[in-house]
Amino acid sequence: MKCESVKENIILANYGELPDELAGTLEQHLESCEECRREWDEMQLLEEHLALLPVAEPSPNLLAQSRMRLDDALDLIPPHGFLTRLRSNLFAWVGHVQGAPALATLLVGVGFLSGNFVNRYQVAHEPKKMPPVRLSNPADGSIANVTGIVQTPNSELVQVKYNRVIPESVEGSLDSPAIRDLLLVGTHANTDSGVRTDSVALLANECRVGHACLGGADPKGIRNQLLVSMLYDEDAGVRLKALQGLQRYVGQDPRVRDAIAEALSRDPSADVRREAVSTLGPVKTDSTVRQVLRTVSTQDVNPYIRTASYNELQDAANIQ
Amino acid sequence: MAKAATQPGTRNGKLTQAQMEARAQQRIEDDELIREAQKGQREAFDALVRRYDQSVLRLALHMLGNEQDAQDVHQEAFIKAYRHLGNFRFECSFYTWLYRIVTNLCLDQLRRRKSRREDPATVLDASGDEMDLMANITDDRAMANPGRELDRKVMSERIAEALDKLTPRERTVFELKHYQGLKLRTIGEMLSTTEETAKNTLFRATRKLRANLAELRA
Repeated sequence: MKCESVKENIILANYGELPDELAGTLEQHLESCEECRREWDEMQLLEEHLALLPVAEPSPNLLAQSRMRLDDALDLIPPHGFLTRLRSNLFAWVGHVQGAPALATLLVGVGFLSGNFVNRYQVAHEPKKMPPVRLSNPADGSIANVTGIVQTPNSELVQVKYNRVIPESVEGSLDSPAIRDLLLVGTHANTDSGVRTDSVALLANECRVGHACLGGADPKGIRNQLLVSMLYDEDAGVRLKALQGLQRYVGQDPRVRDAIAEALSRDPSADVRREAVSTLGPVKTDSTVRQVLRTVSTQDVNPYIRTASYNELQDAANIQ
Repeated sequence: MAKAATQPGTRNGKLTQAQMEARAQQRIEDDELIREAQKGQREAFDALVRRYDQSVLRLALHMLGNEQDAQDVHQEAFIKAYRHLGNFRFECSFYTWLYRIVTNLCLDQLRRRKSRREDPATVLDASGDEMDLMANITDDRAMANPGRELDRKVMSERIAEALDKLTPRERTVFELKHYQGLKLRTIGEMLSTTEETAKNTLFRATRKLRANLAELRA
């Protein structure tokens, strides 16, 4: 045994921390090594010195005073609330789980599988989100009109009220309500017929493929807007696009049928009237439609349309 | 000489059967009191305080040598224990858990003193007056006499100075081992370190003390 480790073992032996199996070796070494024996004696001397500064018991006064101070301080602490008890129960539960590794493993496994299942379920049943609509505002816009001017009496101060038009753009799916609302506004555009044509064409296409083409009393219904455009738009191309969008509903919506019949009887564009004749083909047995076809077959200025109407009437007669 | 010296002494930590049974019984009672205190029963916590507050005060007083600081540590330790009793998970004894709080508070106090370069060797009582620790020790030896008493007082002051030259951690480990008689493993747990580290700290502290006291003797 080296003297260096013996010196450490002397300290451990002094404090009762030396393992029993090393005690005998230490004893033998001390008998043969003068230096380590001196080390042992030094340790004993240190013990004697330290005994001169023993641990003093606190005086009864100090103890009583400390207890009173502590009692007062504890009285100021509010009693444990619900959250504290909850935390305490949680720690106790964690303690139980730590004491039962099999249960802990089982719980972790069940938790993992449940989480996995719930995640898959949520992903599978997640409603499909609309693509995000992005707005941009590249400029501050220009002044549209001045709505009022107020001059402060006896001064040069003037207050001018005005409206500012701010250009913005929107990107998004045709199924997005925001985009549809804007397209509906586009069907009323006064200045640029290209905007109206594009708006009506896009909406008509949506109706043709059956994408939420609502009618009825809803003023925001695309079908209603197409009816208005078909009957009243100044541009024949716009009216034609609207008519094409309504073809799908001619058999199921009487308002669509009647509106197309009206367009056939009074639209100035031959293209629109020709398209109306062919569109009304599936409902030519209807009395109102027959009446219109009969009138058109005799009075329309376009011989092709008169003939087409006559043919449709003949087909209707054959069917009946 | 050597054979007698390596025999287990009073601080060897080896308990008799009766002591072990008494400790086991005490731990059962402590656990019961802790459970009641965790449910919010203040009386149960007060009972725990009465069981251990004297030990806490004794340890703090000996480590800090100042009644005011010892009282502060006593109060702060039990308030901490009260606030965090819900986190106690019965993995160790309440005694060990509480001592961990106390030793860490004492350690903090010693570190603050070191950084302030105070002179803690002067022992003060609660009123701020110098206190003679030896006055609390009754010397019932028949040969006690005033001259010898003076030597003892001077020597005890020198020992206090030597202890003060240790680092706060060395001082704490030495206090817990030499004066409180705790196992190195328990000391390691209290100071959030390993038994091996606590052992090495004890070696360092012992060597330093011997060197310091040798200078004093010279």
